[in-house]
Amino acid sequence: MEFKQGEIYWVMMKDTATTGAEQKKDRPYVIVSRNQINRLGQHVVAVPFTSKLRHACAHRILIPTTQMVPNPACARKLVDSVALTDHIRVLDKSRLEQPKMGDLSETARLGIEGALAYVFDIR
Amino acid sequence: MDSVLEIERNRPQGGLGELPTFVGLPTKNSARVLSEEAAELFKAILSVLNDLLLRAIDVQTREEFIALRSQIFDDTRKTQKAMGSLAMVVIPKPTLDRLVWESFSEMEADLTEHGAKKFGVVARDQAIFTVWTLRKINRLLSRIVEGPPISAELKERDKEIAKDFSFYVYWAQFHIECLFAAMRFKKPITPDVLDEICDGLRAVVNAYGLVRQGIALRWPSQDNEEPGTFEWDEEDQELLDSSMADMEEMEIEEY
Repeated sequence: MEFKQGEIYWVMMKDTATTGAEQKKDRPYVIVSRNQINRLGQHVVAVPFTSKLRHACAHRILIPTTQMVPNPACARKLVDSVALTDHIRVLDKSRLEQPKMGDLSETARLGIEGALAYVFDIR
Repeated sequence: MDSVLEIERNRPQGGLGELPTFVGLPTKNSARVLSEEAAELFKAILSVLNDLLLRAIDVQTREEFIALRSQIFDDTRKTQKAMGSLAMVVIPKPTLDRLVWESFSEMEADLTEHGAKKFGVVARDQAIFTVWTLRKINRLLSRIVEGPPISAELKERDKEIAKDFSFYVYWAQFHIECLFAAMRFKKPITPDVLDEICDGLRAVVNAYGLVRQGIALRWPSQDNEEPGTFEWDEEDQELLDSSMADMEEMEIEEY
């Protein structure tokens, strides 16, 4: 299974095969690691989304659905979200629910890149 | 929330490489390097810009601000462009680059010193992020302007990016300059209007995303090449397991 930068996945905190239930902490993440890295190991680097728009602030980027391309094969619905760039995480690929929820637009993906540069103070 | 998308876009015709370098921001040091005539001209343009901005921040409600902004945004953009174009004619490039750099530093320093008291911490942080990103945009834009010409088959795409970029960068600049006008002229901004200004500042993220697309058009990413060999070992697995375990403890509200 190939994972690409800018793809949005529903991420399960625990293995649903053992828990059988969705957790409160399950949520969408967008992959931000470059594709070369995504092909290497069993992990990707990703930024979590929240649907609570009041979290939007300087580096926490508001992503309207107009900047997302939904995957028609996915039953989960994309909603206006905030990318919590300061909660960037390493994720186990096995926790990324298939199929993907969708993709970010190029502008939004690169906008998150800019916010991450700010978070890490990369000038 | 999506007001930034609702404004009619009066777009330029050129590509990103033909856009003027981003020089519309005021700087306290610029007067020192200008001839008397040029300084007078700058002062006159700045005065027009200030009048427009003061009208914008003088309103009391979000609705009034939105209505007024739709009347004056295009004029502020033309004024900012005029200032930028004039600067490129009368100031040597290396000096101009230094002045632009200094203007960003001055803005960051002003916001750090006075921003929280004037606008509150949230708006101050949003404004600092905006200036930080504008500085990054400026650097990327310089790289594009100084870079090789774009190939003929990519010109149309470049023009599209430039049109959108131009809108978003001036939109962000308009809102950041509203904040600086409030500081310069010691004018209060009502919380309602401040919320709308902060919303307008978000356009800087789109501007960054678009200028990065311009970079990618000229210097394509090598990201699709095959990675080298890599062995996933126990330590990698431990780190990954630990990261996932940490996430169980993560303090983010429910999605």
